[in-house]
Amino acid sequence: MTSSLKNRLELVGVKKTFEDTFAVSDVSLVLRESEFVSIIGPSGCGKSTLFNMISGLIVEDEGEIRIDGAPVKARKGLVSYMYQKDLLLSWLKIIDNVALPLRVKGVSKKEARSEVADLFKTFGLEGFEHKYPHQLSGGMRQRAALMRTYVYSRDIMLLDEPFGGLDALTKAKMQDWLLGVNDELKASILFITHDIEEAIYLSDRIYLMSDRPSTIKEEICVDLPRPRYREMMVSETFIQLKKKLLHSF
Amino acid sequence: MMKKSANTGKWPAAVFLAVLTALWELSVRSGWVDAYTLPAPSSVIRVLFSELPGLRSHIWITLQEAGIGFLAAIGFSIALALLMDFVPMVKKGLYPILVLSQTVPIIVLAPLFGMWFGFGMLPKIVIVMLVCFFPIIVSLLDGLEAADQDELHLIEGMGAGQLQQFRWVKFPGALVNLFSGIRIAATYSIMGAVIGEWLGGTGGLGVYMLRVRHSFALDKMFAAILIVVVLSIAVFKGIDLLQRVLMPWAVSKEK
Ligand SMILES: Nc1ncnc2c1ncn2[C@@H]1O[C@H](COP(=O)(O)OP(=O)(O)O)[C@@H](O)[C@H]1O
Ligand SMILES: [Mg+2]
Repeated sequence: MTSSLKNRLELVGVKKTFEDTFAVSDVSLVLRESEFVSIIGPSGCGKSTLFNMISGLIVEDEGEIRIDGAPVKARKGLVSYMYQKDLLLSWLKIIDNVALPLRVKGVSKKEARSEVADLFKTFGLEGFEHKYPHQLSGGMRQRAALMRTYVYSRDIMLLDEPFGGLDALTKAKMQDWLLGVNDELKASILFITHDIEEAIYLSDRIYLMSDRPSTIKEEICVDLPRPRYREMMVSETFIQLKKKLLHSF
Repeated sequence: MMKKSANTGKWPAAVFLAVLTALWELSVRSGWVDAYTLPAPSSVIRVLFSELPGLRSHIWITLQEAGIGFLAAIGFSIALALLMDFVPMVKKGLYPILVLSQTVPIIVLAPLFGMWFGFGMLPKIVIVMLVCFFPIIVSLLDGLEAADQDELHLIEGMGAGQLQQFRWVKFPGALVNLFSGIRIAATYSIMGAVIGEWLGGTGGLGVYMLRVRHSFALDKMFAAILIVVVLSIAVFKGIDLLQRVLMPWAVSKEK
């Protein structure tokens, strides 16, 4: 069913070596229209490196990365990228942090603020527009960072372990919230995590990465219906998928 | 708890200062110290108020020299930091010199400026500018250097060029450093102007001090010193206030 949708992002035989580390050996993957795809793998295997290449910050040694069919070739700004850290600028109020992508594009402060103001409700940050980042909890900061990512582009989003640093309870809340939000937004999302349950719960497909030098070890389709509910985590399908992933690790 | 003890920390110092002043006053009044060598605090205050009308113009001149030189130093520092940030060669060439210059007592150059620029306000302004410039530029460059690489990548990913990176990430991140440099420079500014005036001139607190020195009017000398101290503290506090206004996020962090 999903294969009828067009490819937004393709990686074909991508390779990357740093001075002394053979990080990515051969990675091919696709992300289709409005799809939620997770990449799961041991830490240090090169997941963030993949994102850095897709976003044009670093260049692949071999292979090709294509967005809507056109090679990226180190062009920046084609996708929106949320880093592992929230990277909210401590000197800007939340609303200005969120509006930053617009300001960089040259939109005036007033206009940029009014453009993002409506989103605060969706992202559950109403009333916090004029706070500074350090006045927010970890979960709220992640949401603000996600919101900024969304403001930059609601098209293809790369999310690098966005909930990695959160406690279990906050994390669960954020997952449910992200599912709800994405039902509305319908973005194409590539999502890095090392949490197997999180990957299954959120994704349409999962790529499993090997240790460094990394390749895609396995691709798994998640045949759970949407909308998703937390109760699905104890369903037969979910448990079978979890077993399969644990086995592959 | 920590906060409270930090606040009460000011009281012992105030008490200590009051006790010292009282001792000073007593030792002069009791005749233990000669009033011509060391005037009592009370007579210094009295002279200060009687002299104030005549002192006003001197204070104004010194403040102008200090203020203009100080602001020029801030402006120059920011402009040069921007240039160094944009042109790596300029930075490579200048940075070591700037750091080294910290060890040079700029004030020794003061007589030279008197010879070059005469006895008006200009040489004093130049001195103030120089003594203020180095601490400001060095701390500003430190701050710019310490910019978070990930934050830079983030904004670069949004399509920001060098100027945008400077404006959104590097400069605001370096504001704390800039202000610590400005704070040091602020205290230097009044001092620089006064020392400049000692080398000759027609007005200013330094010139006033030279005059009262010739007539051995120690109480007037002390009154002038007190004014210099108060002005320096006022500038310092003013900078604190300005920092609070310009960096509201840091203020809300304190609470
Ligand atoms: N810019 C870089 N220079 C040198 N080595 C790097 C760089 N970025 C990442 N690496 C190395 O590449 C490997 C993969 O890193 P990363 O992509 O961050 O892993 P992951 O995100 O999967 O935990 C690590 O060994 C890391 O040290
Ligand atoms: Mg990583």
